[in-house]
Amino acid sequence: MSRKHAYYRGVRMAPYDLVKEFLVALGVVTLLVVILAAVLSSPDVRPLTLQSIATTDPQSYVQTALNELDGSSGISDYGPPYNNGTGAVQYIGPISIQQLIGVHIPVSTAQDFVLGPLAQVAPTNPSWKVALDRYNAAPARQQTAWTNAYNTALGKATESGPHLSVARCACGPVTTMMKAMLALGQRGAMDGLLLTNRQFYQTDYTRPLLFTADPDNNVVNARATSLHLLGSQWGVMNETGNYPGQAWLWLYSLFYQIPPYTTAWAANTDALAILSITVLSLVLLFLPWIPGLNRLPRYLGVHRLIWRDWYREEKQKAARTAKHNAEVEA
Amino acid sequence: MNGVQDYVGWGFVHISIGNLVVIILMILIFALAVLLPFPGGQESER
Repeated sequence: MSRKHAYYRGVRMAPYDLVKEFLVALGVVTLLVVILAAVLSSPDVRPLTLQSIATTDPQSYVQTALNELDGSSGISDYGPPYNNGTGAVQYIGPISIQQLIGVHIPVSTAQDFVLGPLAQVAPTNPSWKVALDRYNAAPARQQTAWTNAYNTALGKATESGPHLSVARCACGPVTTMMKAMLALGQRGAMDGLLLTNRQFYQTDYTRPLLFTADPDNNVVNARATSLHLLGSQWGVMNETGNYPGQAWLWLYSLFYQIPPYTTAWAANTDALAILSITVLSLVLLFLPWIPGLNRLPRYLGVHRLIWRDWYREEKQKAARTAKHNAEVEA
Repeated sequence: MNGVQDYVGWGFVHISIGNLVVIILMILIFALAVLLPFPGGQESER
């Protein structure tokens, strides 16, 4: 007798049509998908573009552009993978995986977000070209003086719909450059100018997204808050509108709500949440070999519920045998 | 469905009604799968 036959000896078998089950399940799920898609449609929130931000909140848009130019934006000092800054570098103990992997999507905020796009369109507008040439030719100290002066003036600027009024200042060519940036943004040109042209079909939206989602940009932050998409709002689990989101990410999202991840470990939450999920996933993967934990299914007894008929029959069989033996002895 | 979101909160737990419905449905289907009798088939001794 083979080992297989010996192993299964005495175990009752029930024929079961697995192909039929698969086809029935496929049919039911397909029908459900079609009906639910027809009835519920899909989330349809208007996207935030640089054009919409420049039009609805020109001050925030120009402030982001200025911060990219003078190197004070959240991305300027972010760190890997964009640059060698340290602003958003996270650690697990003494190790930073982010720094180990290094800079592999190099972003120079002044060049990529302001000077580069302006250089592309400068030939179409002589005043923009003069301003850009003057800025590029100036020493770094002069550039900083201009951007600082514009930053002060921008703080006192007033908005009227899409129009931004910035008081006159000793800002050199920066005033013209920022006006050009705003005009390009409101015309919808910036969304295209920030794309990386490395291939025929454009799929690399890194730079437009970085510019749009820069921490300085109040519009994106406000929209994310109103849609409950921030990390502190269990954001990765949520979808816009009343659609269900990614409920299976509850455990990952949980770490962003509880101490010490939100307190003592707050500066490294992402790295430590990933580490925690990795450890828990490994525990789940190796559960059958972990002493104690591998006994859990036995203690929980879910299999006894699933195979309750078999256990009931076995109990009755044992009771009958016991009764029979008692009668024989009597 | 694209209207204003509804959320329920309990301590640090903050969950959308949509997610809550899906989670309750998943638990319900799991309970039914465990409790409903297994589809019939002629049993045989091997």
